[in-house]
Amino acid sequence: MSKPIIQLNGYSYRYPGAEELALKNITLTIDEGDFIGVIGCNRAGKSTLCKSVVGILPFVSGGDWEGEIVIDGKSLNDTRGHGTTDVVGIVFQDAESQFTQQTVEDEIAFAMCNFGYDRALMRERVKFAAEACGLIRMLDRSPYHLSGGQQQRLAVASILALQPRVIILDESTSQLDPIGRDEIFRLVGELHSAGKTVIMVDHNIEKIADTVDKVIVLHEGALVAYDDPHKVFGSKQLLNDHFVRVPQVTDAAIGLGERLALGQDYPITLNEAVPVFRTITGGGASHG
Amino acid sequence: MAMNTVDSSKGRLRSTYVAIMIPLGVAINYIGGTIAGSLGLPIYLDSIGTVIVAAIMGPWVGATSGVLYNVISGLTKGNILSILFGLCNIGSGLIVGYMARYKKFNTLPHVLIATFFVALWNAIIGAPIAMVVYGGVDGNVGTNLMIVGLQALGNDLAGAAFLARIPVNLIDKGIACFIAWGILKKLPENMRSLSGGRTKA
Amino acid sequence: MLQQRNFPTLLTRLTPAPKLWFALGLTLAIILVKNLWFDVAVILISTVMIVHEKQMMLFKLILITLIVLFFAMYGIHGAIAPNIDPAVDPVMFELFGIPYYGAGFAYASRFYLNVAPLMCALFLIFLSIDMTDLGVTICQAGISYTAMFTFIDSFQVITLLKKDMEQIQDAQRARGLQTEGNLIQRFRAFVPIMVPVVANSIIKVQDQAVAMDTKGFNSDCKKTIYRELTPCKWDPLCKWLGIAMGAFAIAYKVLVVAGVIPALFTNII
Repeated sequence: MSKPIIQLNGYSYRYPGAEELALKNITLTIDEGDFIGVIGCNRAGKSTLCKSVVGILPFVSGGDWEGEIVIDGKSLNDTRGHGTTDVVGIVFQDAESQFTQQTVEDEIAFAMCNFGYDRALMRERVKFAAEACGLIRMLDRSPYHLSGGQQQRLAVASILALQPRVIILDESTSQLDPIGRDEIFRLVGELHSAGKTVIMVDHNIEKIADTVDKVIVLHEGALVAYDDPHKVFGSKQLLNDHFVRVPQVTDAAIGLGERLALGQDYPITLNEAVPVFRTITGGGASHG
Repeated sequence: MAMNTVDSSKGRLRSTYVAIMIPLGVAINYIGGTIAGSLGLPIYLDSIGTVIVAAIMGPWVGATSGVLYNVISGLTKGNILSILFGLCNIGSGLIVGYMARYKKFNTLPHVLIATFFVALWNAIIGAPIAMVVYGGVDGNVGTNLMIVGLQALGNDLAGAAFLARIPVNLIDKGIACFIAWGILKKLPENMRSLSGGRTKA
Repeated sequence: MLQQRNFPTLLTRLTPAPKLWFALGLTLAIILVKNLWFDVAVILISTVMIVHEKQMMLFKLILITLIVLFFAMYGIHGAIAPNIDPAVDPVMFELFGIPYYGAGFAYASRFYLNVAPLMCALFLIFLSIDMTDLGVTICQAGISYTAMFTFIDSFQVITLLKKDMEQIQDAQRARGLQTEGNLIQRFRAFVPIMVPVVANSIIKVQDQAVAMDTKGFNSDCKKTIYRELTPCKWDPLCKWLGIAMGAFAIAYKVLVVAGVIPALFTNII
């Protein structure tokens, strides 16, 4: 059984100068090795949650908070947000604006330079991160001469070099074309298979349903659901009430209701949906 | 509800903001000069970054950004002597930075006053530097035409170099101050002072 | 480093520190000795080396600046330099009724022959320096890591903003912005291009600061440097040549000013 790596105990947060809470009394546990998808409408608190887990909020950017966040057994209230970088790494939406170095290789090494790693270790880690993210043939290129997907992979590689046990991706695919988005989902799938805990905030419900072990649903700072994707996406009414849609195949299955005789076991991915919908079409060759 | 608070004015992001804003000021100066060149404008437009950084981060950060721009510009164009014009940018940064610190860069009259003092400083300091580096005229068409005109009216070269720089700098620094002021007005409240929050959250 | 670094010419193989010493020595020699033939030689050799380094496209901008400066300095100073005495100085020629004096051209030469060789030579030297290598060099010389980072990041932000500027310029032109025409039209085109570039870049600053914090920029650890400079066997020669030039120039100037030796090498008055 996996041990908890991130725990939120009654955590609430308010931005400096704001009246409303951005996160309200969140209690949840993320086990090591999980792949968590975080979904919700705009201003649900998804990015706030991610930044709180890394300690940026409130200990770097300020604000008011209650409760605690425990990372690998250490409460951020005690460490004041320090010392999380070898456990949790975060990749933000706009990869290009995060780059500060002249080449891909220098960019991957940048975080390690800041933490005083020695050169031999840095070289090893750069090679590891570049190979893991498919950038090994691009080390001499400028980060600004990469495609969107390659830039996000570089952003992941820069964090991966520190070998955190948890990687958070905060809407990293939202500015990418479908090919770039698939590259990132493939990469995080590989990282998860290699044992990393992944927390991914994304608006692409279909990709989330296809990839994650558990789904967190937030709405106006409150935790609406935290469960297996089948249970979460099967509750269409609950999600719609909080302005979140279900995967299209699930929506179709729910709509077909009695004809499919599924009970509550709705498909949430295309692979699951094909055999289910074949029962209506008679399971023969596809029509037109 | 009794909540814990972290006041970001004591936060650790101040040095990070400095390390980001100085290069940004350099780049804005560089781009301003590039756009002015590509549009064929007879003014410099290479101190907008200095003014913006000074207004947001304070006088000395603005001045540092300005002088670093002159160093980088001098190095990349090979015109190492033009680094001396960094003294002009230092003054621009200090004037606007101190005005912003004491909340005197918020209204139209403030911006007009800032423009006047920055232009005067640039003319007073720029003229002797131009005399030392270029003998009086430089590569700027607007300034050179004014120098010729003023000489024709009987001024000596040093005097003409100074007087020519006043209207050129009034327009040039005026545009910089107005753009900086306009952008600052549109920025969210928490971004108008990225000094780590000099005012309480 | 893992990447294959390509140093196709001797100039690119030299590390930054010797090149900086050479640049310093050359600058002192040009400014303090004021020898016409030395200056012309520097211009010619630099131009040949720029062609050899295949950097003529970038040098075009410097060339245009030099040509504009030439016409401005000689065209204006030739007629109205402060050392001209119309009563005694001979008129070399007249153009559109304006007399041009030899004293004026000599005055212009005093400055132009400082600026032109320096621009050619130093443009070449700094073009051949990798900016991250330069940052590493200045950090090794004792400058703080943060200062080094600020210096290197300036070049990256310039690249990023140039890209933004081009996109915004194209977008605004597509919306009908006139970037050609009379002075007023061109003035009007400045703000719609400049303001979005600046506003976009400032809005990203907060996120950038947070991203850098997560990469440990503010950590209390002693920072290390990843880049390794590859020494070249010609580094010591380049460095000592620069030091020798600089020392000779300073010694020559001091002795001339003190009256110990005549200004043997100075022929630009």
